[in-house]
Amino acid sequence: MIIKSKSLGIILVIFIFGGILLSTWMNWWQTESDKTPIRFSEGEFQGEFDPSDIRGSYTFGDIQNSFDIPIEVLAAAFGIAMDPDVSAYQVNGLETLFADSEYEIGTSSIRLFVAWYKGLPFEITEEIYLPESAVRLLFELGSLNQDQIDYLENHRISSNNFTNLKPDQIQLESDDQPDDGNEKIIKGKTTFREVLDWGVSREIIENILGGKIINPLEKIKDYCISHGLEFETIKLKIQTEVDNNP
Amino acid sequence: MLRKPIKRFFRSRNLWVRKIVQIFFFALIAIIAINHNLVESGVGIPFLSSASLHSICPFGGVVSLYQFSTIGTFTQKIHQSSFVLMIIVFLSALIFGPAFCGWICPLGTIQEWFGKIGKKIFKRRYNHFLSGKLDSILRYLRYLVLTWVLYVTAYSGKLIFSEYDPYFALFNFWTSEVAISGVVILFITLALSLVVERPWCKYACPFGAVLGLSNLIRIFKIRRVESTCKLDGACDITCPMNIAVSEKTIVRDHQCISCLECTSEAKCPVAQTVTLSAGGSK
Repeated sequence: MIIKSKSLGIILVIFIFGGILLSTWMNWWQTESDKTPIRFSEGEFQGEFDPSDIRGSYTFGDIQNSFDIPIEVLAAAFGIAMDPDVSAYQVNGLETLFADSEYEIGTSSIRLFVAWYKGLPFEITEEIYLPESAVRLLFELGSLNQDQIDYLENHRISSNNFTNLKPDQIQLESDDQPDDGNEKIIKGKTTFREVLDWGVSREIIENILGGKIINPLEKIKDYCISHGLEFETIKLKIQTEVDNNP
Repeated sequence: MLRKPIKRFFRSRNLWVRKIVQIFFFALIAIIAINHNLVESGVGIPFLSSASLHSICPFGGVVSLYQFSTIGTFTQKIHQSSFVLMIIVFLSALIFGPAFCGWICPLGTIQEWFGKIGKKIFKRRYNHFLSGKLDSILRYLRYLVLTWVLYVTAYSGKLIFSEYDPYFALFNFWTSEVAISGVVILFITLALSLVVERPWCKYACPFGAVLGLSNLIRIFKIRRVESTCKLDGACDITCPMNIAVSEKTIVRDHQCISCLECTSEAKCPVAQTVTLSAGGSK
């Protein structure tokens, strides 16, 4: 059987686009990361999205889709001016936005805000601060318990200096932008390999984990989730070791 | 007995279908890459894919294989679509050999376009500058590149090769995402294309190295019928990968890219003598 050039050209085009169509139909064709958090696997909120899995690369639009919190609320809470692009605002941009603040406001702040706004469980394992505007919004809900109110009273910071910034005034991070190689901060996407390269020994990390590192390429957060460990706690301990290895 | 390639140009019958397919995929990838940048700037073209270049590169699937098989996740910047494309290209290679290289890959296409300039400048010396022995050794360099790429990706979990990838640089040279090393390698590749046909494909392409192995097992092969062959060397002269087709009855060379330029449909002057065929077909 002889194949002519015309037939080969047509077959190749059909192969490529037919394969893409087939994979789309089977829901395999994904050209970007799935921006949905994991769900609670047990308890009263089983099946609901878990705010503690919100990642820095999520946009306000992603959060609206998963938690049904209007973008307007998120923008107002964190002092970002409403703009057509605000739905594409990435959570990790908050760290830049509040870079001048004495206390860090970032992904953890969004997780706490989302959890308490929606009345979802959230374990606080580090000091988390919220801008005044976010705290006011949570108080207005009237659904917080006394412990939560007390916590917010002690972890609210003035956001007067940061209000009404437009998203394009903020340097947005993206998955396609290279990381700053000098930044030794453990985030949701940090792998064991990176921490090892920063000078923390495998033995120390395994002591903190209470178990063996199976694959250095695994993200620390993924390891914690799969082994039932609290990522925020592990992160703080390993970060301490990283800081001790300048 | 083989004769030396005769000193004349052969009647050229362009494989116009291949040219059209090449232009189509080059334009498609270019438009998607531009749209990806436009979307990030908030002015994307509606109804057109804005996928990142990494997500539509089948080699991304290859470099992610180790990480995916050990911990079930993709290498940074690689997505499921790369795996899908890898499988599609592998299947097509099992049937037709590395036709992806000869028909679809935009980096191969642009090297051919630069090669046309080189052919006008150097005439018959074009693509025949390197000595046969040195050239045949250098042809295995791409397996070293492949080994290095797989190792550094498996070690780091990051797409380190993108910093050196001329394909990525080709469609991103106007953005801040591309590393200067990638742009330099792209320029070197295009400059070398003026004297050597498809230099990146021959000596450095790691994906071509993987696909090249399919030449050993592909179903449809380039076959030469000895009984009708005039041994005029037309197929040898025209092969962009410098394969001595006239010395083989079945081409199993790991460098063949299934471009069909050597076949009776293109440069071979005798009908049904060099063909892409399967089974017992002559």
